[in-house]
Amino acid sequence: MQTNADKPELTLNPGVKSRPQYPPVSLNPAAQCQVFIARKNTTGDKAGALLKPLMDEAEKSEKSLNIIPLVVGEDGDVISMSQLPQTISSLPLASSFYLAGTEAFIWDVAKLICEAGFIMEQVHLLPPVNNERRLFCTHCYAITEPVTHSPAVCSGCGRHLLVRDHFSKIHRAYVGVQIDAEDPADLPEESEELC
Amino acid sequence: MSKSMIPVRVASVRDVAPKIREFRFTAVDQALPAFSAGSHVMVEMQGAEKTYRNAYSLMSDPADISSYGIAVRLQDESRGGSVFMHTQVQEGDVLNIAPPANLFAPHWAAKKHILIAGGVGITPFMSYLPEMKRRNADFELHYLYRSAQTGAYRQQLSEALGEKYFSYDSDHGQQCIVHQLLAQLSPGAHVYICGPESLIEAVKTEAATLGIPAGIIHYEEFAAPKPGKAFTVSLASSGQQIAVDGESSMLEALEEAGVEVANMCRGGVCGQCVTGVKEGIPEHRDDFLSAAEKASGQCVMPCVSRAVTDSLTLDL
Amino acid sequence: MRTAPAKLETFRDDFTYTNSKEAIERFPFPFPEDEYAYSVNIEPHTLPGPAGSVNEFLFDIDEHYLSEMAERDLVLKENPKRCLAMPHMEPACWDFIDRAMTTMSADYPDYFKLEKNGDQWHWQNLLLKLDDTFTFGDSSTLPCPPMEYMGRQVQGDIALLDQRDGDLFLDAGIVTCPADWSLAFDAGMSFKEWHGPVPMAHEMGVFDRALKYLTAIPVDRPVRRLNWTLTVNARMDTSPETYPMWGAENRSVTPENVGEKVYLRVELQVLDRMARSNALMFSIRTYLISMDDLVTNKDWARRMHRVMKNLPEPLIDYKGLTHYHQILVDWLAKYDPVN
Repeated sequence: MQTNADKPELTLNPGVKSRPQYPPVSLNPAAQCQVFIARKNTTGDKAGALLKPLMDEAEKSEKSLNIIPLVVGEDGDVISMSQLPQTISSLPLASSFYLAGTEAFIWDVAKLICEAGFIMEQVHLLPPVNNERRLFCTHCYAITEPVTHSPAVCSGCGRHLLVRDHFSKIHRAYVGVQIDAEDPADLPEESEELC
Repeated sequence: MSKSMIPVRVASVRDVAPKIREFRFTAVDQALPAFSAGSHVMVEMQGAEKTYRNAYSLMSDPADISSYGIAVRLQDESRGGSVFMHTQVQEGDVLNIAPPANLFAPHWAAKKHILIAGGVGITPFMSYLPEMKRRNADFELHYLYRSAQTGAYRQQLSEALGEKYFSYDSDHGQQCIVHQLLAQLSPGAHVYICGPESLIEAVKTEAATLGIPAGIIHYEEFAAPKPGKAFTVSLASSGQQIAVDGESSMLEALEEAGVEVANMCRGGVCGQCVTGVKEGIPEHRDDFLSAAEKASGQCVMPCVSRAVTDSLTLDL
Repeated sequence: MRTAPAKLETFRDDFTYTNSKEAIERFPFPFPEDEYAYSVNIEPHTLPGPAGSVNEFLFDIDEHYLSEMAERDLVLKENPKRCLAMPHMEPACWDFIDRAMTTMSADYPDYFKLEKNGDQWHWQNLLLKLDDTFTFGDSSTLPCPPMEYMGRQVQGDIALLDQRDGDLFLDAGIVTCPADWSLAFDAGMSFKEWHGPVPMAHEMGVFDRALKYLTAIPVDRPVRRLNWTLTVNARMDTSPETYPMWGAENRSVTPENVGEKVYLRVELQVLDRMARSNALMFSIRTYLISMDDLVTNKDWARRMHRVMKNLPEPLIDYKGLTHYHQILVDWLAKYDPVN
């Protein structure tokens, strides 16, 4: 039987190309509008800290740049996810976007940006602030999040899912496949700590 | 490749501008395949001395495949193909064409399409326009030409497109200010250019200056084979020596000598004709091989590339 | 003329699927050499191919037609999301209908009949007893969405790839007999993204090369390649969706039952340009042959042993052969005494 401690922490596998890569981000000096979007975080402002050097650089730039910081959250003082599309659609074509937050968040925002007519070339994703993943169950198609360990229990069908490094930009999620299907006798222990 | 060609009859020939001639092709024994907006066909021309093969955009409505239309500009630095089309090809003649392929399709998800044509570069857009109207797509056509030489179809375009049509006749001092054109674009716009390299470069440069992403700028990447110095090709298997004159491409010289090399675009794009190099240094002119492959000198695309050295031994 | 479609066989539960002698003879054995090397190995699919071979026509209709269509119906009834088409793929779906109906009625006039009167098409599928009249291009005149309508009448899985930005996107398809990939999850992915899990291939740059080749494919000039894996039992639907139902079967192989339990699964993959939409059709036609049937051909038996014995470890894992690979190699050894 497996115990929780045996479960491997999710790690990067550079050989798999459908796991998004997050190369270092630099400011696009040609953009007319620099847009910084971060997820408000209750446990410290990791996303804001990631964006700070880029924002400082943009402010120092000789070009008179239009700098737009957007913090997304559910409180009254910040912009909500549902307000974001309207804000994005009012921006000029020559905009560059810099996104920081959890992996699911930055891809959710990237999707909104592309729906407004911008292209991924204009969207710069900072490395996710933690290892939380969104998981797509390949058996019942339910979404489970956040997931930090593998195997994880599916919120839809309750199966124990191996989290694979295969990412979909449409679902903004990783695929999960039942880990004990070949040998039903070897069921890992269920644990509330998984989610 | 001759077995994969489609014979077509030249149904009509007419001049549509001082230096541009339009040809209509109809089926001989097999129906013409359907095609998509932006497609091109390769036309084979049997000259007395050599066979010419040029790629031309289909300029007819994709919804009507009873005939294909192409328009050929008489090129000042012609390698022979456009001269042949202008002087030798007549109504009733039968030519061979390759089936349509498309490396310049509209980006249908765009919210607005900005078409920029230079001279005979209007041709692919002639197939775009009816399709865009059918799909209720939002578009503008910006047509740059010199009325003393080009400017085909401008009357009909002006009437059909109304306020979506913008023309610039440089023989009458009318200039297209690319900067202004690009500066007013909104998110979701995609730009398509077909015309001389200088026009493509001008648009790309202005876009970069304005901070417009390169990915919304589309252009036909064909590098028509350009002349160079003469050299000799040796075939590794037989030792056969084939002379490539300055006006012919390596692929044409091989075909003239009866050597079959798989090929498709004949413009350095598709990669079908990649051939191994045993000796000699190639002069790469294609858009297909990676920088590392080019540097290795171990393969070459004979459709557009030539030789630095006086001879090149190919793995054929 | 190939063997007419036989009576219904099953690809699940009691697994009554069998191959006739003719089906074994025309099986597309995928290994040109003793050593297995991953390559894109694309070649022109020149039509018509050799008479009676799987390459003769664009869509190969064989003795398993009715059985495979019945199996597809079972899969779609269990999970309708095994077929999907994004809204912008509507023109490509109609291209697929045109291409399939036009070629199948010409290639198999005894089974399929098509009459065109302008936009009014009359289609008869005598095998499935369908007789439909519809307006070409108008999906409301079909009994079900166009992807599903035609997908239910051809053997093998079909994906329609949208071509844009020099890349190919998996935006429509009917996938009921995949070798362990999910259309629902992979939908919308680019060529490289959906090949993500293939080990080693990226490093070889094969996908960059293949992509340039594929985007330049002209109308009416299809290309093909073969792919393979192994399957325990004659199960067509080895999808991730249903993996909980069949995963345990991978442990059911013993030295005694290898010959009847283990199947070589070969995919004849054909890529064909859709004329009006510029989409690329990717048809994945799956053939299954049991080891017992395969070794009736001595050359195949010997080569199968050599290829399996030398298979690199990452591929054994990727293809899901871990539990029975060694049992199979040991069983095949008797057909290759010198090795």
